[in-house]
Amino acid sequence: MTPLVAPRRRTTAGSKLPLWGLIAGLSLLVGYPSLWLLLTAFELPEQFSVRAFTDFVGDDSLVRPTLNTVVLGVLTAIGTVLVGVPLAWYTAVTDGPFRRFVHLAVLATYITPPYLTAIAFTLLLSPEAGILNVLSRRMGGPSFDVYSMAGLVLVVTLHVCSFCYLLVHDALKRIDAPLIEAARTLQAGPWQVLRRILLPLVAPAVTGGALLAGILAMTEFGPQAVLGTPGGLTFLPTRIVSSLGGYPPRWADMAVLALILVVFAAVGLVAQRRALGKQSFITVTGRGVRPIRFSLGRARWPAAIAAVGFATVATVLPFGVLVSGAFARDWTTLVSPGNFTLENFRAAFVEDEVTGSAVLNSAGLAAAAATICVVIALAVAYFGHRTTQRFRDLPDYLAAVPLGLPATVLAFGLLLAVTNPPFQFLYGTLGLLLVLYVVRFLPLATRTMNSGASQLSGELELAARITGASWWQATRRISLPLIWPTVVAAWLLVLMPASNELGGTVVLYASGTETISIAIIRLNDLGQFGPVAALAVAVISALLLISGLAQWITTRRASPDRRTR
Amino acid sequence: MSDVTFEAVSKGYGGNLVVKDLDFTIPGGQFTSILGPSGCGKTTLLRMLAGFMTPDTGEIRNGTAVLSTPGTMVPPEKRGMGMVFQQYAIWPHMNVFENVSFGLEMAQVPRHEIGSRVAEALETVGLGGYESRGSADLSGGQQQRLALARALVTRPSVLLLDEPLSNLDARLRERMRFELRELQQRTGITFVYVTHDQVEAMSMSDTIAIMRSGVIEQHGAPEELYNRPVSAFVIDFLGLNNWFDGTVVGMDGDRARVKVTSGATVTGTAAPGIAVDANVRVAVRPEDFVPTDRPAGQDNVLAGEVTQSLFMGSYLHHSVKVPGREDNVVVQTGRGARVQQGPINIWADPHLTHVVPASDL
Repeated sequence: MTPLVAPRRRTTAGSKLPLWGLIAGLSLLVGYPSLWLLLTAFELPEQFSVRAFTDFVGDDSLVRPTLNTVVLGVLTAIGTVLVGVPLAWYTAVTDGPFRRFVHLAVLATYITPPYLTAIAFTLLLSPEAGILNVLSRRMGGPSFDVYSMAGLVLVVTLHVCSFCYLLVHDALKRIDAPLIEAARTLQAGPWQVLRRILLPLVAPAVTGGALLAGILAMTEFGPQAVLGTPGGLTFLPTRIVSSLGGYPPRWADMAVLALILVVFAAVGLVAQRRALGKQSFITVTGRGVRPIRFSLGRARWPAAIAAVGFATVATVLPFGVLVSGAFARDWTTLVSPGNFTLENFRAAFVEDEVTGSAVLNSAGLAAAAATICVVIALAVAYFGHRTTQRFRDLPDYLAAVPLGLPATVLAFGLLLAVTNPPFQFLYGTLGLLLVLYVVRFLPLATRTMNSGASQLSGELELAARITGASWWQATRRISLPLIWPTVVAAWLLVLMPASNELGGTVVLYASGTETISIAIIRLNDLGQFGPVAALAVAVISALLLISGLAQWITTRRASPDRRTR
Repeated sequence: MSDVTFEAVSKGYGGNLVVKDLDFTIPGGQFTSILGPSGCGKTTLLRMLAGFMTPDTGEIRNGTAVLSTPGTMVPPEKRGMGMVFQQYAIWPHMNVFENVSFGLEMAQVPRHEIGSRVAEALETVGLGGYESRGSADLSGGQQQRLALARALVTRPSVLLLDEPLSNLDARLRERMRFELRELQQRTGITFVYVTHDQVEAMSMSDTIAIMRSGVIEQHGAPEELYNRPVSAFVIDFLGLNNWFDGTVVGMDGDRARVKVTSGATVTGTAAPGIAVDANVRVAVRPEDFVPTDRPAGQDNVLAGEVTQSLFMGSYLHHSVKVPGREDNVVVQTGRGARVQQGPINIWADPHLTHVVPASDL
């Protein structure tokens, strides 16, 4: 039974082309906008000048946003630790009630786009008409101005604390109970156990989470625009965006601001990686860990009230006020049968001339960006996991670069790139927004796809080959069906943020290419809070639906189906 | 069944040669094991044979048909081979039947034949009636059998096995050894079995190739490797040994007389290439030392003192302190042997005493 097939000539030269094509394409997508940022900061190519760098120090309109950004980042990082760590401790290792509800509530805070959280809190806490402020004044209490640094820190903390929470939660869950018991047998009291064993074990997770929260606070445009701008506070992203329409254009100065923000983000990310890298010593294999469990005793109910109270403030209150505002005739009072109306939805979706096309634009852009990201991520994962060529990991590194490019910065780089040849045809088009979304969300797709691909042994495909399947048959019958749930999950994971991107879109949109986020911000600026709430409710509902779908798909992936013939 | 031949085959990764200029013939219709420590190149060898890797130099043939050269490759699916992977590689999205029928579909076996062929293959490995089970519901041992059925159903001429038993528990592993051996003899398929476990290789194989750093150190029947090892590596790999350094003082045919550093004189079976005055190492397995009444000073007799005896169940393990030697000599005796703490003379049969070059290991 010797094979009678004539040996096939191997084509070695051609097989390197796809990898290099991918590397070239990714380099262009990631590198070209960054290159223009650098060129512009030095006023190249017209001339070479470091004026923008030297002028920076003396110009209060540039220094102040920078300082504000740092303050916001630091305060949010601290706030995140103060909120996230106790919550993680409560849900991960105590016997307190409602742990599941608190856990889901904290995770849900991240589904709501940050600009919508900010808008919800203006409805609650704007100094004059905010529902909570009105309530407080009626009872003789003080009112809180949400258009302030404190307000901004509060809102952003509520939005980003889920990262710190999740990291610490996982770290605590991974601690094997015998680690604590060993300390107890050596006469360590509860306080010493906490200080000498538990805190050192979760410290990397706390640091990592705080740094990530800080970076997000500094780079997220939405809350800064919704809450900072009315309060007279400017930050790096809002400063860059507000200068776009100005005259004379201060491209070089803004490019310098953008670079400063990139440095903040990059330094923060590197520090975060370092911190989480130190965690490896507790990442024993997942199996065989008996999680620690603390009995709260008499503190059980006070702790529960605090945790559930937070969950309510973070999720129920903002979403509730948006729902109320969406269905009430007057957003300053809560919805009631006598107050109920669908007028806000009509105003938002029918009367407004932008919203209709904005919804279509957002849906189309998000779907297209998700599809392109997933295709690229599939290619990246294929080369990284299934080939042995040199530089096979390079695409993965390139695809991770946008993590260090805040949306506003990336969009500003793209704007500079398309106002110069040869890409001017993209200026003001949906295509430009598509490029922005693809680059921005590519890391999300590659990370998901990589983790999916790494769980798929290459031997599954080889087993098909040796059993008589050609490369294509093995791919179609074995690899694609097995990776498919990951593909869908990655697609949905990109779809969600892409359908709501604001910080970069605000730089690049033009008349006719508005997205839903732009439409909402525009109505918000016009003070049309009823329609804004209606749109917000629609958007958040859609996002909840998609994330539920993604959740369902990923958990189903864990248990392979048991089809019978 | 035709022989599989490797001729001057090399393979390297980034300048590091994993398989070095290998000439190797796997006899057709037999059970051949490739035995070596991890990183010795045995898996690379198997993957080149499967067609997953291209050799950098040389040629791989099945009979007269050329399978691989650096420029031409018969793709894996056209080689008529089967393979059982270390992690089994059971397709999780298919049930038992679909896993096995896949190869038949690829071979375009008529539909009405597939059902009976699958049933037959599952019967062979003891999984009859499991057709509609989900592959995730199978135990490790059952997955192992399924992988075997999947590889056998297409009636390959060569079956490649990559450490297929290493993920099973000890008892199951022992049983599968017998079953694999029996299966090979029944089907007459050429089995190429890669492992780092010498007991597995010894118990199943017609021939064993011991591989080290990309070259095959010795290839022969298990008894031959055990009784006529060519190098310290081969001896060492096949089990625990007492080692003595020394110099050859006389040769008689394949017998070498060696003066060892502790002072005694030992006669043993010499590996090829041993000559008078050569620096050598002498190996005696613990079970080949026996307590003796012969006087110290005679060849192959060591005088020492038993310092500790451990009861190991089926045998006894003694540590013997020999003057002029740092490490204790390990001696193994049956349960009935009466060995007491204190002075003892031990003797090794020259047939079971191996003299190999010192340069190696």
